[in-house]
Amino acid sequence: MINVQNLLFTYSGNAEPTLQGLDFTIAKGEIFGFLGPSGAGKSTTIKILIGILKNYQGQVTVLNRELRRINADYYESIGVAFEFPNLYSKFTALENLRFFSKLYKGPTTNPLDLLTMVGLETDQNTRIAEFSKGMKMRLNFCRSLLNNPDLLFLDEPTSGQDPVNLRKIKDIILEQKSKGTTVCITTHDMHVADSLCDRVAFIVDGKIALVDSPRALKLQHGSRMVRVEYRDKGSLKNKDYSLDSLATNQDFQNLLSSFPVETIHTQEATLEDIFIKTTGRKLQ
Amino acid sequence: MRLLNAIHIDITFQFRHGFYYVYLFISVLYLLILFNLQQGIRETITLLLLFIDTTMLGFFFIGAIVLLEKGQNILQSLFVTPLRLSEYIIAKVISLSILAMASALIIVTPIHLSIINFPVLLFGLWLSVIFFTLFGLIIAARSQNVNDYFAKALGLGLVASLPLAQYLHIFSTPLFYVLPTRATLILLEAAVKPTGLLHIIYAFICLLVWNSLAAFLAYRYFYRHVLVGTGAL
Repeated sequence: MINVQNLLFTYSGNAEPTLQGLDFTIAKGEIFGFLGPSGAGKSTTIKILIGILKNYQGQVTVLNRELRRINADYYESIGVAFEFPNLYSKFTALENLRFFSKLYKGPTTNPLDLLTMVGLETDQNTRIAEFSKGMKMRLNFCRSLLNNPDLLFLDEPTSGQDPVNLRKIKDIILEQKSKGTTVCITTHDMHVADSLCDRVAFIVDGKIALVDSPRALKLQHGSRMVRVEYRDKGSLKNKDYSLDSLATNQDFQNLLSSFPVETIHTQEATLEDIFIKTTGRKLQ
Repeated sequence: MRLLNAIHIDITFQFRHGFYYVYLFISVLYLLILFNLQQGIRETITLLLLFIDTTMLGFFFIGAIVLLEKGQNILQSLFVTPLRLSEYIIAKVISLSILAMASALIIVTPIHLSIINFPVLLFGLWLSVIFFTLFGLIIAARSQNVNDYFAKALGLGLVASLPLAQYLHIFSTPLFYVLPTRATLILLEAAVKPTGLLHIIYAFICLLVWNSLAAFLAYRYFYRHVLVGTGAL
């Protein structure tokens, strides 16, 4: 679906390239996360993938097309939702979606179905100026799905959502994946990346520092230990055991039979731990 | 089809933001002034108002429209749809042309009996509206906010208005013939008094050349300063 080889990009006026030779591929139906601090090159990568920046060096093939040579027809096949709401504020939710759907040649999804999917059906005739940021974000998300895209680019798709709507957005993204849509997500939210992405790439200083599935990364970078939290005479205590000898560890067996156990957790790393360890930088 | 939809979106946008009411109000105001003027001076002032209203007003309105769109981040969404940048620009030009030409038709009513060449008047005004819309797009592409736009537009608008000095018999120089506004004024005058064919041909060619240049620059500036800057990822 996406094949990027030795991608270099330098903004005019800059001496140093912003992207310093990226290589990655994204398969059809995959949810791929771009993680990284602001200014790392994440947004430049996405701008190239959505066909806005064309004067790059290297090879970028999306949907079997070299992006340097695409025209606006490319946007018939992709959907893009930026982080900041971008809709006509004096138009209603329904009017906004209807206007945008008319810009596509191909079949589009019924705007009302999309509004219902994100819980905005009762606000269909409300002007956007009266929407909260979370509502605008969901409407913007609907806009990106109007043309039934093969490829979806979502920037911080869950930002500003309450837990119920967060769940809705995540479910829709997973449903898109199940239909074969490829999804590229940029996010600062490690939980979103962890729970949604098949693979994540850490971008730092214009380079990909690491690419793998969240699970593989967490296992590789964590310690093979399990932590048991238990009560001993009313106070909460914990003890760590190696995973490798757990079945035969007598101390572990004794603890399980002697104390009320409250939690048992393997000590794999979190994505944030891995990011800091790999890059020496914080995400935010 | 996509272009027609883009024009429809633009007209609705302009209507919702009250541009039609502003135009109607200004046109009616002009009409009241013109009907109260004496016959001799009416034509001169009508042509002057036509020049200001249909050309300069659109010049300021296009800035307001683009900066409103920028403010609502709409350009981000538009440029990730199949809508071409050229279609975006053409839709702006056509939608504002409709508004400006409707206003011109209202303003011209007090002197309609004096008009000897209606096609020259309409076509001349239309080309001028196109120029000022494109000119406004060029400035808007490089402006951060409305104040920034108006500061730039005011300065450039004043330079563009210099040929008015010749129209009002204050000052004249052949250099005015380089400016598109001199061509506009020639065509406005040609609508009410006999004018040499060469003069009219010069005026149309001058406007066509300026419009081609403005269209090229509007596209280029929009691509460089707006499209590439699209996205807050």
